[in-house]
Amino acid sequence: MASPALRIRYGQIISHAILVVLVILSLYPFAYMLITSVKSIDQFYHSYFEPTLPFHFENYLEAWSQVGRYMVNSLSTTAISVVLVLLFASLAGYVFARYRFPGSEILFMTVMLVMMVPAILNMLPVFVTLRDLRLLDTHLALVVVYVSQGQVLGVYIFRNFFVSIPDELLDAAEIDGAGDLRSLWHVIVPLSKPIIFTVAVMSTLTFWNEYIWPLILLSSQRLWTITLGLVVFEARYAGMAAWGPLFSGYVIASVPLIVLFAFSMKYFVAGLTAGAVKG
Amino acid sequence: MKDTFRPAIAVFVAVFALCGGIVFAGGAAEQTALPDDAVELRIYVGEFTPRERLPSDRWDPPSYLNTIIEEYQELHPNVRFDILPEIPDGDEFLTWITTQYLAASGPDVGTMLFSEVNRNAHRGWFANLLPYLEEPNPYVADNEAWKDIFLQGVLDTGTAPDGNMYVLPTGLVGTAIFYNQDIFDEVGVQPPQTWAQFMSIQQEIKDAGYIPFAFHMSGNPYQANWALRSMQDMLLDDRLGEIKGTGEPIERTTIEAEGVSQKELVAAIRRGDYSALDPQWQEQLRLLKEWSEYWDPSWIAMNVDDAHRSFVRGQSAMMWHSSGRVRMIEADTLRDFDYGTFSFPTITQESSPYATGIPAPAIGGYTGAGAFTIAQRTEERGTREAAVDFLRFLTAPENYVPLHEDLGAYAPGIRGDFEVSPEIRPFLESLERGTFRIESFFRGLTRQYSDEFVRVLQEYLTDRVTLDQASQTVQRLLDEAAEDLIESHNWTDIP
Amino acid sequence: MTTKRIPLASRKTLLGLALMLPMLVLLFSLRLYPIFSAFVHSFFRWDGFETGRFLGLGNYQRLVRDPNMIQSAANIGKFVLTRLVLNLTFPMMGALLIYHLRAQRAGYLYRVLFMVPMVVPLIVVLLTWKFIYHPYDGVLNRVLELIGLEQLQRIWLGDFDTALWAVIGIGFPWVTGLGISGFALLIYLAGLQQISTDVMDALTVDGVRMPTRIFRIEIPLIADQIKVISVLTTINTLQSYVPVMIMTGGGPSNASLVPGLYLYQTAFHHDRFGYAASIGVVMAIVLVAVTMLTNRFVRTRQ
Repeated sequence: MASPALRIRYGQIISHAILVVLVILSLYPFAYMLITSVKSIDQFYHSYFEPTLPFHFENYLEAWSQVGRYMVNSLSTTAISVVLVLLFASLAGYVFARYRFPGSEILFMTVMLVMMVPAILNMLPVFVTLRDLRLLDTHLALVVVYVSQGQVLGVYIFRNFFVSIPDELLDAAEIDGAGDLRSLWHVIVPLSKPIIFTVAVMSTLTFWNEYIWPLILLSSQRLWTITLGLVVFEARYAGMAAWGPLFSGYVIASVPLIVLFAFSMKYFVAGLTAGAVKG
Repeated sequence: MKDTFRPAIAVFVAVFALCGGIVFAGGAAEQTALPDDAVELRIYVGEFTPRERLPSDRWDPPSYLNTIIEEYQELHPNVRFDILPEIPDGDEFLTWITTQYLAASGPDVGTMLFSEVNRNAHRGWFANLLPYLEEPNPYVADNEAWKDIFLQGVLDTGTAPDGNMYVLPTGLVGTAIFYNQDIFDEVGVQPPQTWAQFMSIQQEIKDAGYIPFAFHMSGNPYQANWALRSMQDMLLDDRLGEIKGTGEPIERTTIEAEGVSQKELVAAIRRGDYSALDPQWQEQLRLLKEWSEYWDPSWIAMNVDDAHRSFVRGQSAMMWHSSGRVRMIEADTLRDFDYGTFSFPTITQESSPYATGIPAPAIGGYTGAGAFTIAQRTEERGTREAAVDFLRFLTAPENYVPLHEDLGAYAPGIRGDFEVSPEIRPFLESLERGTFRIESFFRGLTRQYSDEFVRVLQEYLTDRVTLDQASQTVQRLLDEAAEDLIESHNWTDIP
Repeated sequence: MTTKRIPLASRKTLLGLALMLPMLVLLFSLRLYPIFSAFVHSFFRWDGFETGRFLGLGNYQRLVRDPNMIQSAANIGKFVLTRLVLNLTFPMMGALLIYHLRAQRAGYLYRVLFMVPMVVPLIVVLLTWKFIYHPYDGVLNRVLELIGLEQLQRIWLGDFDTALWAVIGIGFPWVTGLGISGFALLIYLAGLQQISTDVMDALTVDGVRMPTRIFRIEIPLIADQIKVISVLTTINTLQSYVPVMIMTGGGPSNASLVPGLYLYQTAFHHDRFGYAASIGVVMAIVLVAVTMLTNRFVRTRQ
C-alpha cells in the first residue's frame, strides 16, 4: 500500500486528468464553432475536424451583415429593460422593506404568488392585450413585457436585501435631516451595489436569451432580436451549407455576454450563490 | 471592492444606455416628416424581394424589382418604398404574416398564397380588387380594363367564394421530379411512367448503393401533401363527384378552385362520402409507405434545403420540386452532373386495385410567386391609391415579364407575346394535364388537422401504428376539423 | 421601527404607493390580469379575437383525453427526472474535484473554463447542438464514424427513440447545465468552500479516507445547496420548451413534444386560445403545487 503522501499525489493527478477531460468535452462544441467559423465550404467538407489555412475571416463580415441589426436591437431592448427593472424593483423592494401600511402585506404576498405562476400562462392574454392596444410589432411592447416579467424576482431580492440593512443606519440618516428619498440615495444605494449588479446581470441574461416573447410580439424583421434573427439566419445558412459564416454569426452573438461576464464574474458569482441559497 | 465596482457599473450602464439611445434615435429618425403628397408603401413581394449577392450564395438572387421601383419613382417621385425582407416560406411564414395583419402592420402590397388569402378574407385584412380591375390600367396601351391583361385562370383562381377578388394570383408554377442523369446511366434505368416502374427503378438504385429519393418532411411538410394530392386525385377519381356533392364527374382544369372546395369537403365528411375508414381512401397511405422504403432515411429531419444538398452532391438520385428550384439547381456549384425531369408517375392496376389509369394531376397552377394583395388598411393609411397604381405598373407586361425572367422560377400569368425561359417550360407543360381536384391535408381543412395528420403519417410510415389505427385517427381528426369549421364559419346549411 | 412613524402613516402610505406605482401598474396589467383572463378564458371557445361559446369544463375534459397532452406530460416527466439526476451528479463531481485540488490557481482556472458554456447565449448553444446532431454534417455522427462505431449513428433529432433524449442530452458532459440550473457547479463549490477549515483539518488528521469523507461529511454539509439545485432544476425544466421548439418542434410526430410547446402551437398555429389557456392553467397548478411541496421539503429538512 502506498504512503498517504503518495496516494494524495496520485489522487491529485487523477483529479486533474478527469477535470481536463471534462473541460475539453464541455468546451469542444465551442472550439469546433470557432475553428469552423473561418472555413470555406470546401474546407469544411474536405477537412471536417482539423483547422485549415487560409482563414476566411470574411465569413465574419458576411455574418455581421446578416445579424448586426438584430444585435443592436437586442442591446437596446435589453439595456432599457434592465434599467427599468432596477428602478422599479428597487423602489418597490425598498417600500416593502421599510414601509408598513394597510394592504402592504397583501401586496407583497401577491408578488410572491405571481412569482410562482409560470410566465407561459401570461402569454396569451398579454399577446391579446398588446394587440388590442396596437402595440404589437414595437420595441415598446417587448420592453414593457420584459420589465413586467423581470421585476417580480427583482422586487423579492431587493426587499430581502433592504430588510437586512440595520435600521440604525437609516435612523441616523433621518436624524441628520435627510428625507426618505435622500436617505435612499445616499445610504442605501451605495450599500446595495452588489445586489444591484446581481439583479442587473441576471436580468440581462434572461432578456438576452428571451426567444418566445420576441417571436410572438415582433413581426417586422427589422425589429427582431438576436435570438429570432439567429434562428432565421440558421435556417438560411444551414440550408446553404454555409457553415463558416453561420458559426461566425454564433460567435458574434456570443460576444456581448462574454464581455459582460469578463467584467462582472466575481460579483455575479457571489451574488448568485448567496441569492440562490437564501432564496 | 468598491473601486472596481464603480467603473464596472459605469461601463455596463453607459454601453447599454448608449446603444439604446442610438437605436431609439435611429428609429425616430426613420420617421421624419415627408412632403404633403408623399406616401410610403410597405411592400412584401416574397421571392421577388431584391437583395445583394452574398459570398455564400451559390446562385444570383433576384434584383429586377429595384429597376421597376426606380422607373416608378421617376414617374412618381412622391412615393417611397419600404421593401420588407423575404421570410423563407417555412412553417413559421404563415404565423409571421398572420401576425403582421393581426398587428395591423401588414404590408400595403403583399403576397400570399391565394388559398390562404381566401381563407382569411372574412377577417377583413384585404381590399377587394374587383372595382380596380374593371378600370383601365394607365400603364398598358389601349387598355380598357386592367383585368384584360391577365389570363382567365388568374381571375378564376383569385375569385373568393363571396365573389370578390382579394388576390391576384399571377404566377404560374409546375412541379417535376428531378433526377441525376449520371446515376440513372450508371444504374441503367430510365425515367418511369408508371408507379410500378418508379418502385422498381428505385430498388435498382438502392441496390447500387445510392439513396433513391431525397424526400423531406421537416419544417414545411408540403411534399407529403403533393404526393397525397397526386395519389388521392388518381385513386379517388370515380368518387370525386360524390364528394363534391353534385354527383357529376369533375373535369380537370388548371383552376384549383374548380375542384372540391373546403365547404364541400366538410359536407362530404359529414355525409361520410369522404372517409378515412374507406379502403379506397386508405390506399394512398399504403402506397406512400411502399415508396418511403426508398427515401433518404433522415426524411423526418430533412427540410427542402437538406434535400437539395443531398441531390446536388450526388448522394440521392432524385428530388421533387417546383420550377422555383430550377435556377438554383442549374447554378449550384456543388453539382457536377447532368439532370433531367419527369412527371409524377401514373398509378396503374399493376400497383393498386383502385387505379383508374388516369395520369397524375399537375401539382401547380396559379400558385407561384406574385399572388398580390392590397391591405384593407391602406384606406386609413391613405396609401390605397398609390398601392393600386404601383400594382398596375408592376403587372404591366413590359415590367412583369422581365421581373419573372430575372427570377427564373415561374411564368407570368398575363396575356402577351413573350417567351417563357426554356428551363421552366417542361414544368408548365405539366399543367396541360390539369391540376389536382381535391386537396389533401395541407390547406384543405384546418391547420390543426394538417399538423395532426402529419403526426399520424410519421407514425404510420415508421411502423409505430398500423394502417387501421392510422385511418381511425385520421377519421377522428376529420370529424373534429369538420365540426370546427362549421362552427367557426357558421355553416348552418351543413347538417 | 414603525411605531414612531404612525403619525405620518397616511403620507407614507401615499409616498410608498407612489414609489411602487410603476411596478404595480405593470404587475397588475401584465401579470395579474392575464392570469385571471387566462383562467376565465380556459372555460370558453376562444380564437384570440372573440370569446365564443361557454364550454364549462369542456377544454379540461378534452385535455385529459388528448394524446398529445398525455405524451407531453410523459415527456416532461422524463425531462425533469433526467435533468435532476444530471444536475445533481456531474456538476457535483466537478465541484468536488475542484474543491480537493491543492493548486488553487488551477482550481480557479477550471471554474472559469466551466463557466464559458454558461455565458454563451442559450440560443447559440441550442443551434450548435442542432448542428452536432445533423444527420450528415453533424459532429456526433462524424465522430462515431471516425472511431469506427458507424452502427451507432442515428438520425438523432428525427428518430422516435432518440429525439427526446437528444434534446435532454444537450450540454454533454453536463458539468454545466442549461439556463439558471447551469450554475449548479458554482453553487456546490460555494457551499463546499463554506465548510470551515477546522473541520477539514480535523478530518485530515484523523485520517478519514476520501470516499467516506465525501459521502459522509462533505455532501451532507452542502445539503442546502443540493436542495436549491433540485428545486431550481425542477421548476425551470417543467416550464421549458424553447429547446424542444428549436431542436425538433416536438417531432417526430409528438415524440418530443412538451406541454409548453403544445400550448404555443395550439394558440398560435391553431387559433385555439381557449384550449391553450386550459393547458396553461393546468401547468400553473402543477408548478405552484411542486413549488410549495419542494419549499416545504426544503424547510422541514433544514
